[in-house]
Amino acid sequence: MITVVLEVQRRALRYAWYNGQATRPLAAGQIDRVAVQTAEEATSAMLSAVGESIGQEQSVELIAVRIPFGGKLFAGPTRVGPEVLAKLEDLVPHAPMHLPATVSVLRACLEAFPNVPVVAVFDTSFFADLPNNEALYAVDGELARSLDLRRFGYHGLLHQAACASLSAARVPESARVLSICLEPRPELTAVVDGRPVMVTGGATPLEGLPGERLCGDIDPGIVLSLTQQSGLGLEQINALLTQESGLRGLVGENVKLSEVLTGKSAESQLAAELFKYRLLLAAGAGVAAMGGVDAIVFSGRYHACAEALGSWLVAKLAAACRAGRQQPTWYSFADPVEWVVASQARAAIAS
Amino acid sequence: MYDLLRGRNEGLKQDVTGFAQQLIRTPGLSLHEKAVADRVEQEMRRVGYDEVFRDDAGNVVGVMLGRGSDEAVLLGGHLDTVEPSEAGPWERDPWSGELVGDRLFGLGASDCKGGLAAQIYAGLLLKRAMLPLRGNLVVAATVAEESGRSAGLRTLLDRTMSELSLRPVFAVLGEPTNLGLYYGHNGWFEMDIWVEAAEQPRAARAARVIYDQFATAAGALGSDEIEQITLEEPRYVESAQGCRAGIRMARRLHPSENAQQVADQVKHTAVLAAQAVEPVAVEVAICEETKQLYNGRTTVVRHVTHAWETDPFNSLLSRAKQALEAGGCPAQPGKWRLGRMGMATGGGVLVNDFKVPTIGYGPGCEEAAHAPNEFVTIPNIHQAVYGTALIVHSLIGVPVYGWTFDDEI
Repeated sequence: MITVVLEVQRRALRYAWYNGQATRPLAAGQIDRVAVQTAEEATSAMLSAVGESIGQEQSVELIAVRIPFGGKLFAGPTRVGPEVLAKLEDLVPHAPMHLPATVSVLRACLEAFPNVPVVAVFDTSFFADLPNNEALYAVDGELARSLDLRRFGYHGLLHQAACASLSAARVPESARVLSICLEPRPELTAVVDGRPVMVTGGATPLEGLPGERLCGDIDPGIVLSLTQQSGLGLEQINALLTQESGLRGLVGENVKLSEVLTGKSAESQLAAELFKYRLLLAAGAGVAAMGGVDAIVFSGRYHACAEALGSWLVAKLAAACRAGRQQPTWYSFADPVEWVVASQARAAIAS
Repeated sequence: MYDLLRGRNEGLKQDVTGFAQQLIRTPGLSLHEKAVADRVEQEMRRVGYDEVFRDDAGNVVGVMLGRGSDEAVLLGGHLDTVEPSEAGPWERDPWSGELVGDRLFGLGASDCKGGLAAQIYAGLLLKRAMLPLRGNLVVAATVAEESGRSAGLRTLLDRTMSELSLRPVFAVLGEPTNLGLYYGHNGWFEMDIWVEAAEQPRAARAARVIYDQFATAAGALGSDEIEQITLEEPRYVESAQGCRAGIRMARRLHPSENAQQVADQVKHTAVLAAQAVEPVAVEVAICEETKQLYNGRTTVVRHVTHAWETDPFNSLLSRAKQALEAGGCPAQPGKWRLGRMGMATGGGVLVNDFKVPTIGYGPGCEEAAHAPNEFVTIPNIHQAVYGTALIVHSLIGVPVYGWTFDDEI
């Protein structure tokens, strides 16, 4: 069974395809979004590439499309049809840079492969049922409802897969797990019985841990004073907080999270210390929300940084907990998100 | 978002350059814009505007529909140019569209075919970047700006947009600003001072006195750079009472001035000057004439362009400035100087008559407009595409606050 996985990125439409349950893709590639005119054209080029690669003997049996935001409407992988497309259109204001292109890709897939199931797999589904005390903000209720102000996590696919992978290490499903996704927008969630009870993400991905260029948690008063004292407008503040802050703001240039955690310069060390401190605070909040912690799992493109963070975090948390209590164990989940998307889509079709 | 727009803009550079070149190569003298209108319509359809049509005046209008709001941002550029002879002797073929270095030469390059091309492609850039809009984007290529006192724009606002239930809340003109944000300019108007007497010599003596009086004033007020008053020598026609002498005068209008009031003042001055030498009748009339648009329709054109200014504290100007700065292309606010009498933009129609806050943001240079060897620079056109898209998105785009792509670095 050939499963094609698609993801819309800023520069490219990325694709990979898997044979059966294999965890490694048969092939992967990307179509440059700048080189083509429309998402439909990009999808067509990608599907041609896939077709040429897999040859005549096999055929595409499932298309899985990663979607960064599904709100409360999509609590799991969903087969795409006209109704789903309409719902996604309604969600566009929540993720305006990502959803229009993704919806176009979905339409193109449905048109090109009318007999092949297309499944939308959402990064936010894992957090669709967050407990109210975690999901809601302490703001006017009517305002929150009208604007749909609510907390989400934005790396649910990796968190979910990383937690599920712990069964191989004989961590019970009921365990209290801190899942730490080390991506350019890092995110921590606390998971009990396979369900998240706390997450660092917010109404947008801006809230939470500092990222490579995102500021993460910040006093809202700072935003207000930026408008008043610096005379900055909405676009300027957004650019400042999403493009020029985080590790970049601390180091003074674009830098990867992995480089910061291993960097030797004074700026890198300051950024690493700050990041680790914020991570520790978030972990502490997660432990408090769960009433303890049994395991820690790292995932994401920088999961190898678990070597630098895992033991350190365990020691810090242990020092903060009662003496004699069993320490949690840390793990690293190395599978790429594309495989997670493929496996979720397959499971959805099989069920 | 900015990286996304910049990346997509890279992919449009060749096309927009070629399109601007084609616009220049397609003659579009004022009131004779059909060929260039055809080319604009063809391009708007090709690049995928949701709706493309021509209105009663022959304006070409492209609409990108938003997600439901009836609010619209109007990007306005005019199709027409002045006669090349008006601009003085050319060293190049005015319709060659010659590209020399990074300069694209030709009649209307700065005023405002380069700006019109950039505006059309700004809509395409937003579409290619798939950045959704709340409100509607209307790109209008209007007729009769140069010789019709923006008659095309007036029809667009008076009839076309209201018939389509499109409510312009802001307008951006693609006129030459050298990528500055311009928010107004002075106006001007043209009048005839008529002196009537029983005999020609009496009319001539009175007309000469009036002419000398205003010529002296023009000399005192004018400068090499900014004309304040221009006068034509008296001309004579027979009348029922004997003879009429006519002096055509153009005068700059400042923000606090009204053309009719100024005309009344001119009449008062002329009467006093004339009656000191001859018992003549003096009248002053603001010039108007009937013009035929390229589609055969006629319109009465008054030779008046009132000064206009968008309040510099209007949110349009601050939002545009902030959006451009956020996107890495800061723009200085300013105003058009309009050194030569007869130059203007459609801003007066938008701001004074239809109360639409308006700014100018275009790639051309004011100094190059209505001048021999007119040109626009290609980098300015490319930046105007990006900058105009930023401005439009800041006004009617769905905000992208808090979101980034994970492949940023």
